[in-house]
Amino acid sequence: MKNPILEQFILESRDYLQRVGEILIKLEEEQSKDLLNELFRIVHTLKGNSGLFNFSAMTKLLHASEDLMNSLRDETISYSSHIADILLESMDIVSQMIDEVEAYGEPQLSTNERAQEKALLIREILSEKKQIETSEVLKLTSEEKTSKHYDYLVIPEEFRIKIVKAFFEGKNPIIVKYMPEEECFYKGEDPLFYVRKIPETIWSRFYLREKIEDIATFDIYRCITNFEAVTTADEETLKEHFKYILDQIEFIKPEIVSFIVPHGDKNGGPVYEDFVLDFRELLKSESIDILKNSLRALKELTSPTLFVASCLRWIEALIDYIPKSTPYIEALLRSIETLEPPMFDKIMETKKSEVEEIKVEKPIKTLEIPAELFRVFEEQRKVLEKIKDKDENIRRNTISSIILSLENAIKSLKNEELLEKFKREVKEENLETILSFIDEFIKEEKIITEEAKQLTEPQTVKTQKEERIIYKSEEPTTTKFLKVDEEKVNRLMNLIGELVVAKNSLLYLSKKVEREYGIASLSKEMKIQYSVINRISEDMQDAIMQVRMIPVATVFQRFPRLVRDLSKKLGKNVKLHIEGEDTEADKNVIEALTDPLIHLVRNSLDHGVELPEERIAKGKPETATITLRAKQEADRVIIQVEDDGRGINPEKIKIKAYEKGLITEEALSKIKDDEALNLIFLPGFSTKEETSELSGRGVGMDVVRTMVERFNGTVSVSSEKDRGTTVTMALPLSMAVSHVMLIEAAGRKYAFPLDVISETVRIREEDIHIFKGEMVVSLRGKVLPLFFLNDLIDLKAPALKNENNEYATVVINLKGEMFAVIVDSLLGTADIILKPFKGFLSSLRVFSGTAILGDGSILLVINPKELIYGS
Amino acid sequence: MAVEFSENKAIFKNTVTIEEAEAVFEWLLREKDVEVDMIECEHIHTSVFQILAIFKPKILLPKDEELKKWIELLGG
Amino acid sequence: MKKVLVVDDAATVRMYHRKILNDAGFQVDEALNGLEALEKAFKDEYDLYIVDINMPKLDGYSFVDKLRNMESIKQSPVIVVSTESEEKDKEKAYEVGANFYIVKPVKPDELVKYAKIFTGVPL
Repeated sequence: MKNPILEQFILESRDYLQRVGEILIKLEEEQSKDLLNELFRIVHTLKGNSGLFNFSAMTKLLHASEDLMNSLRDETISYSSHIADILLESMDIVSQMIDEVEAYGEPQLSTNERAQEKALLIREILSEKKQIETSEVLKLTSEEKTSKHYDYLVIPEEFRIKIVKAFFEGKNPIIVKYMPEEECFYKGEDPLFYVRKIPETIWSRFYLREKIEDIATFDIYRCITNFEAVTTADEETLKEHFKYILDQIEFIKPEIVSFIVPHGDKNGGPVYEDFVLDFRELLKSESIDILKNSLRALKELTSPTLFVASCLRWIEALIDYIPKSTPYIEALLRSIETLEPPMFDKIMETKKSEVEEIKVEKPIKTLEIPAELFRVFEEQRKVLEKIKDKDENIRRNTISSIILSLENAIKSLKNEELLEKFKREVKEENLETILSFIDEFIKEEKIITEEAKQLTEPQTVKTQKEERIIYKSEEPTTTKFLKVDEEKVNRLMNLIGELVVAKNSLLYLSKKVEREYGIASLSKEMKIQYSVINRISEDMQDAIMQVRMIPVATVFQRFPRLVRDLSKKLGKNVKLHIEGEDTEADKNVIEALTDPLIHLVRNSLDHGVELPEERIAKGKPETATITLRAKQEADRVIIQVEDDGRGINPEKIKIKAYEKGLITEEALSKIKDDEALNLIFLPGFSTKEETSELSGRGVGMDVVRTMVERFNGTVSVSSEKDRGTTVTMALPLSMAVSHVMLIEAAGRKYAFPLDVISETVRIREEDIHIFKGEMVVSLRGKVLPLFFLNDLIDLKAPALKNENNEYATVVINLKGEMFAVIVDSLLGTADIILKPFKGFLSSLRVFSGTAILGDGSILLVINPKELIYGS
Repeated sequence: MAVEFSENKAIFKNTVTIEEAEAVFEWLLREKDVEVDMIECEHIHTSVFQILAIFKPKILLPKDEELKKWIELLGG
Repeated sequence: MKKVLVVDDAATVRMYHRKILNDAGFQVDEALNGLEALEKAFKDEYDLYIVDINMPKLDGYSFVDKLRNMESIKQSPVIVVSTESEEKDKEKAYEVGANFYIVKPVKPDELVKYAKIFTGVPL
């Protein structure tokens, strides 16, 4: 754990929790006001601290406990051992959460659930004893669940119309998003059944949350289906309905306007201006029948696929609810004129009072004056009013603090003119001068800033209308984090990739200038310039890579739960240990890791870890440990899955590999143990017979290997009998520059990764020998297998020779095994950005990916291992 | 049995549970041009449902109106 | 360099505020409660006080009240940072002469902005 504040939080919380425990026990012996006060303060502090981090369940529980203690303090509830138990249990839960924060960075889901339950229980006690209005409790559980972002257009228009009608009929439709956990089938859950049983459903749908690349390997016991439904049932009913799986449910309380989205082709159709004018007039009369007739006539003239037709359908649906729906209809009429989406933002129902405060998105910011500054001014005004009638001392001193605050605020703007004015006008002894300066500042600067319209910021304004519609200006909102389409980042990557390649030509030019024109000084300058551009492009590349880097924690975080659930199911005791989750790698790499990791962890749980009794018999700790480890080594990210289970027996592996014909009899006797272990990665090694319910459907380790290698990674295994197994995956940190050797074959450019090339040579026809039907070449006393690249990648052209009648040959060294490959010509080395194939093309294993060259042409990068063994 | 298989036709009846998922999956993996008769079917477990969503076989829609809506969403 | 006194009984909060403010170029001093803060304010001159409400010995309100009664101490702005989100708590703070009220947890950039505004550091 790196975050020192979090560390401090853990440390401090433990001290507090210990003290809370002490106090609670003491309180059972003697009632003490001081102790109660201390208790309250500590829990209050704990709550405040937890709020610094995003541990909302913890904060909620502490908040509830704090309120309970407050009731104890003001004696609305008397202290009893029952209350003590509840508080002690609550603190135990918090304590466990702290432990989990230390171990995993955040409390585990199950603990969060327990905390929520406990908080709810405390709330119940409070409401029983104190008859607190239930609204507060409700506020607590539902506050964060209103109007979250949702793509309303996934709901077909006819259903959106039904939903909007429900709103007008006084119902409050709720969107239910149900994301069943992957392992839910093992718990006897049937998500579809739950969804079908949701009461008062208006609309529902499902979608598969991942794409199935290879149907045959799909794990049918893994739930990948998400559900969504819109219902008019109330939240309490829904909570009851989903009570055992609430953690997988999200409720969204949508606003009516989110659903009213006309959609369709904006071109064509009759002219609508007259209709809109007439309709507006008719609307005033509120004569529903006439309005309907008018609509029907126009609808018949309009093709249903048009945007306008959609607007008309919406208006038709809303007519029944005039006058409540009138503002919406007006907005839709405007849409017919402008062909723009309707511009309603919020429609508020006013209470009896004339004046009501409503929140509006209003632009009040400029580049020069931030909203915070206005707030400071406004707040100083409030302070002034509060202390007007206070003692002389307090008043004078506070006024000087206000003046100092205002002066500093102006200074922070670096506005000399305003500062002068402030000093000139504001008199310490005269409160009015300060007030009028504040008022003038807010009024004038705000007008200027509103005109500048830079940012939007919610602000409170007063309105006096009964019902009112507010039109929202179409300004972009600015936030600190930019959400960028991945495609845009990819484009940047490509461009930088081209730059990296293009810059190489400078170096080439400088050499040419020196060699052919003999201008050494110019050549030197060019080289200097080259190194500048080289550095900048490297920095740029680094920067863009950083954008794509995410911590492995995003993958690791799902494992505590997975291990917990699966180990329980298997009757094994397993502790998951996570290391190095801050390690970062490219998003693609991280995403590619997920499936292999799940597979490896399941394997460990299933085959590696022994049952408790077996472990005890072996003299091992009853609880097994699975470690997920990430670390960075040079430009690779190393991910390890380690267990302390029974290990893999290399003898068994050898025999099985032999039986399956994966190794020869000769290899069987010769192969070393550590080599034998790695045979498990061969395709066809693992078979269906030995799969269990948990490890999936016979997806062998070869799939792990394939996925890792697709990203230019490696995977290996080491194991010791009864000590455990470690699988190590090494992947590139990012899809950074690869150094390659460019070659030509049949008129096209290809590349070999430079790190597998041991040398390039030229060989003559007569150097080539046929040995047992295979071509070989003798190089410095070593006999190497020899291949024509054109044959290997199926190019229908003979290899070319140079003017000296020699073949260009690349000698490849794959972990000690050497091969020679004949190509047409060698073009030199280059730096490229390798992009792995995706989708369909990823089955082309002989190529590890593509790169774009400086001239825009596409280069195929050869995967030498597949090139040789694949064919 | 809630599921009966013949070469290119499977008949789902009443409630199809997760116990049948494996068989349905293997069958769909093996056979081509198949048809699933769900006319008498009232409910299928999510695991079976998602298998149908992946393979999208031809389906004879159930009489149960509510289940029918879900099966239509499969878009087979 | 502007000097800020962070008054809070929770070490986590002090550390959190210190880190944020240090990173933004402020010098930060800490006090564990109102009493200690008052003692520090006597000895040293601060440009800004960032004060919690619930503290042992002397709470936030009392601290501000006492501070605003002291002739000899520089009357620098006070930002109250509290978990209480109700209007009456804010009013109580303003009545004793605090200049600003923020509800915990404070967002780092928010804290920095207000600290700058109240101490006259260019934004």
